[in-house]
Amino acid sequence: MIEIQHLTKQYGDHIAVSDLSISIEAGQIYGFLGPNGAGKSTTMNIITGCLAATTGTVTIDGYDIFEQPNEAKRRIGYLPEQPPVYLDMTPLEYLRFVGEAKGLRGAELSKSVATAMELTQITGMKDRLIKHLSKGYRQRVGIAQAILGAPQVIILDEPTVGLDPLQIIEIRDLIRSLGREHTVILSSHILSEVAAVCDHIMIISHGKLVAADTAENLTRLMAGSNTLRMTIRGEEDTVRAALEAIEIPEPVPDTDASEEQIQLDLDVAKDPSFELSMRPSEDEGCIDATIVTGPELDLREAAWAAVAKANLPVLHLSLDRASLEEVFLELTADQPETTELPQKTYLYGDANRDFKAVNQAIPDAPASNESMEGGTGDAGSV
Amino acid sequence: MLAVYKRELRACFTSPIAWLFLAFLTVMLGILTRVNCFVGGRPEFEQVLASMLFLIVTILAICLLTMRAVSEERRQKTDQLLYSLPLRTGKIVAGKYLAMLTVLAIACAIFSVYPLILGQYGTVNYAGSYTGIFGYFCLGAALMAMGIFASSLTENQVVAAIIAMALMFVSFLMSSLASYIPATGFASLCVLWAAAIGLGLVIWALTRSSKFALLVGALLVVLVGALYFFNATLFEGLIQTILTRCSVFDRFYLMIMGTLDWTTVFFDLSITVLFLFFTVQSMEKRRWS
Repeated sequence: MIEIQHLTKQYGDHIAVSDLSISIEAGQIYGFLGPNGAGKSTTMNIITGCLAATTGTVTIDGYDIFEQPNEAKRRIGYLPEQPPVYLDMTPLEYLRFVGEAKGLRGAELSKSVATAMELTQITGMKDRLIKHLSKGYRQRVGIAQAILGAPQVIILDEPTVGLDPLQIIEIRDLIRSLGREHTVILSSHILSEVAAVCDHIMIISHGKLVAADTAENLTRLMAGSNTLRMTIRGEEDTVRAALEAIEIPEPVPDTDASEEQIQLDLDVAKDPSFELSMRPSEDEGCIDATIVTGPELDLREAAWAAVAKANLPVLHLSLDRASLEEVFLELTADQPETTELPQKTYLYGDANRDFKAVNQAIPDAPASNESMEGGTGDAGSV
Repeated sequence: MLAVYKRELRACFTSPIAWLFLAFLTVMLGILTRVNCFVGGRPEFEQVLASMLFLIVTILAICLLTMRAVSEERRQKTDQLLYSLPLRTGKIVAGKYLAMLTVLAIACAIFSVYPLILGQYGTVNYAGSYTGIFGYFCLGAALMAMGIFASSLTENQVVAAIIAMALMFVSFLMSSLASYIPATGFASLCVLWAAAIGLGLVIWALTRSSKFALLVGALLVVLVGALYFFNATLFEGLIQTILTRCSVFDRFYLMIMGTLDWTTVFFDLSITVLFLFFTVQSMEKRRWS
């Protein structure tokens, strides 16, 4: 759908985007993730033709954005960082203007405008001046403008910035529903947002693409370790004896995983070691036990079985996985821009195991909490 | 282009700016007509249009109307919308310009009533009066293109208005300023040299390419110098001629004299196209910066 090849944008001496190549498939939701100033907005501005690239090409559905801008732009709806609304117009007038500019006429125009307003739930506000609307509604008017005329590609630059939590949930639902029929690209510096909405995550740092994969794969392939935390009532010696007798389960090959992934699982199975540490708990007569294992090993059930066998009551049991945040922090860590270090790039299927080592070196990296009581591996927010 | 035109026209009339523009010009022309024609007892309506005070008022009014044309889009970031829509920049500028021109046409339509009112009280040369109004429209059209260009240079409306005023007043005073320059060939040479160097500086400021700027500047200086060396008589009074010929106001006075001068119409049209072209380039440049 969209092909970005060797895209570079230079402002004087500052390189905003550096040799970026991305291929975007139709009918998926993509998330550009990166810290502020990573080059997300610049990239989006170039894709939509608002900005010219220094070098490189962008083609949309086969049309070059620089050579055949009108054909390419007809296929794109764009919401820039700041909703580009005219404050002295009403949403209805505004959307009719955008529709006309996109080449819609007559009944088709009215129908498209009505659909866009319905999807973004601004029909009730259509006759108020935009300057009297709240930030959330202005944002929705901006999104309505982008989806007007059902373009094949919808590009949203930080669509939920400045919205209240309820509005954020509504906008995310809207984006998900758009993703069924359109290709959606959104940018964000908020991880949980991208993880919640996108099929694919592209992490951009210093104008370079440092990772591109699904949220699940990114977490799995780059996570450092799993930490199982338990609080058990009993004497330290009995607890230790019970836990050391944990039977490590056979890994179940994941049918979705790549061959390399399965190999990785087997590697872990060959070396099923774990680290056990214990200290007295705050609860009287209890022991806090921590078991650190490789990223592929989930010992929750095995640990419970082992402790149950020894007839020791379990008060608490939870598993901390290395989260997407950790991956994000690692990949976007500030590096001097001039160093000649081999560039760390992780793309689809390219399981670069070096990350594991580096990842573990980060002390106190935040981790999501996946506990037995609930929680289904939802990555927390930054 | 039609969408941009309609939006721009609506924006002009939903904000007080177009109404102020029309009211300001109509009232000023009314006062001046009363003073000149009724009190002064002169039937030449076109002389009122060409009076210095009314031309200054016109410059101010056009600056006020055009200052927000492009700068406001930039300030409110709506220019990103325009860039991302399937519209060519040329059409965006044309749409905006035609909307402003429509406001001017409405003003001229109101002015057309004035000779009819005058006609109730005496003999009026209608042909002369309406040629004057047509000339005024052409002049206004050229000035508006300058105003839109000034507006495309900055995102601050006030700065845009000041740049536009500077451009228009230089054009307004150009021929009178020219009479202060000695009519000798050498004076013309010096002014042309200064212009060549100035052009070089402008090119350097826009492109930051010192090599290219130096090349253009030096080439022009040498060319003009060589021309002066071979044919010095050509340069006598040259500056005065150039400035008078290039002033949209001096051209306008021809129309006021009662000649329907098509070269003037063509000249104003050229100035309009030139400045709209500059506006497109200025907007395109932002995409590349």
